[in-house]
Amino acid sequence: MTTTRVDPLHNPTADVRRRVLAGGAAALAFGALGGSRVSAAGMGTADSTVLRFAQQLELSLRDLYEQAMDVDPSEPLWSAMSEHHEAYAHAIAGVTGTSASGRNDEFFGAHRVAIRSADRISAAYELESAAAATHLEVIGMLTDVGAAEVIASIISAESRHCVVLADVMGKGNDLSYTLENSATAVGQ
Amino acid sequence: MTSDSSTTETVAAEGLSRRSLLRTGGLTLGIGAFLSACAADFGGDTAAGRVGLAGRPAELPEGTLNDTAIIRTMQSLEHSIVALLSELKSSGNYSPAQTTYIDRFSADHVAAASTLGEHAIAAGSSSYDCENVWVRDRYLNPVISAISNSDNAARDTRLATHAFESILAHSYQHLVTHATTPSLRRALMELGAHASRRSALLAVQSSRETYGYLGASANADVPETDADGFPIPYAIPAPFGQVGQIQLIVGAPDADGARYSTALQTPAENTFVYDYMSC
Repeated sequence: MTTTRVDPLHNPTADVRRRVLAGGAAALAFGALGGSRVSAAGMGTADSTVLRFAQQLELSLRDLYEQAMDVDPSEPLWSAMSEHHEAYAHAIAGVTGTSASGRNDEFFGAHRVAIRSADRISAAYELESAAAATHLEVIGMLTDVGAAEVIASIISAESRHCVVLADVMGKGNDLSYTLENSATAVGQ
Repeated sequence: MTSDSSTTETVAAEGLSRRSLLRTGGLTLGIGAFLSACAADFGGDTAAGRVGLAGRPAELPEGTLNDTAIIRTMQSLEHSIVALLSELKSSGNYSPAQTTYIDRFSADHVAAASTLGEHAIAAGSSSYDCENVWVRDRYLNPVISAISNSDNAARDTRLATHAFESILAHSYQHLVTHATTPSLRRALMELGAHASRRSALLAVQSSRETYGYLGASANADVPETDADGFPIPYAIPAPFGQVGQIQLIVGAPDADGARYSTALQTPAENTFVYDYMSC
């Protein structure tokens, strides 16, 4: 039996139900962090701008992993990664008070071919490394503690993603791959 | 009338010895309470009275959880894990492959402690170059003791190493909410990301083949504990980084089949290394 999947590029409303569920899961998961300081009140313009950039990056990653699902539907990691990054975008939206919509098209376009290629695991590792490095820069710019709390939890999670992807690549015993992040942050 | 007079005296004597005493005593207490309530405040020590000649107990300075206390606390935890890894390695319970990891982990922890010491000095405090005393007493000593008497020391050593690396990652993430500057939050999470990677690597090595990468919070189909009741380490335990406690079970079962169990927690009042504290 052949499995077909609609390319989200041509059908942006695909999997709406799954996204809604992922958003709810994000809210529940983040609630477990005890994020009492998470509030949209009093957010400065500089913080909002930085967080909007981080949110667009997360939505780009969600869409890129959907591209990977499209060409490699048997690998369960892709759907998990896509859902996690959508959850991060929703968590950021919870801080900024804005909707989680609108990816970074430039970033998405620059990585779409790589994530659909046979070397997609390596591409995913590079994406996660870049995302973790970017959020480190982001947390160093934020003045809002609640927002920093959200970004800190994303950094922890994406660092773990890198280790898993390194292992899937067959480099789980390479300590430079698993323990170090040599990626540079995505430019704003 | 001799007999009547004698009876009257007896009654009077009995009344004096019981009723009068009660009446007089109650009246005295009442007047005392009334006068005390009406008296002026003459000052003086209001503390409870002391008996004997023992010296007054020393009072600790009031600790403040500021940025330098956060830095020094994490520095102490890095030193604690260096000590733990050293003792577990000395016991010979790591495999040769694991020893390669542990040597790298130890070097990373020493480097992290050094970095934190520099941050502490730059922030106007001093480097705290020793273990966290509370963590040693509350966690390290009992865990190491339980492992030394375990029915499977290699398993317990692996579980303990993962648990302590995980709680270190949780601690860095948790203290972000207490740090007052963006630069310190970034510095904490730079080290926290390394701790998350070490935790994930250990989980991959021990659980990937049997249980996969995703934990129960990220995949409802997987168990949280194995057939023997030990918590299963997952590389990605949940979609978000966590700050909760880590359950650690080690040691040999007792007569009831129960093993030593503890819940590792992120730093709190007892664990903080305040500015007035030194090694």
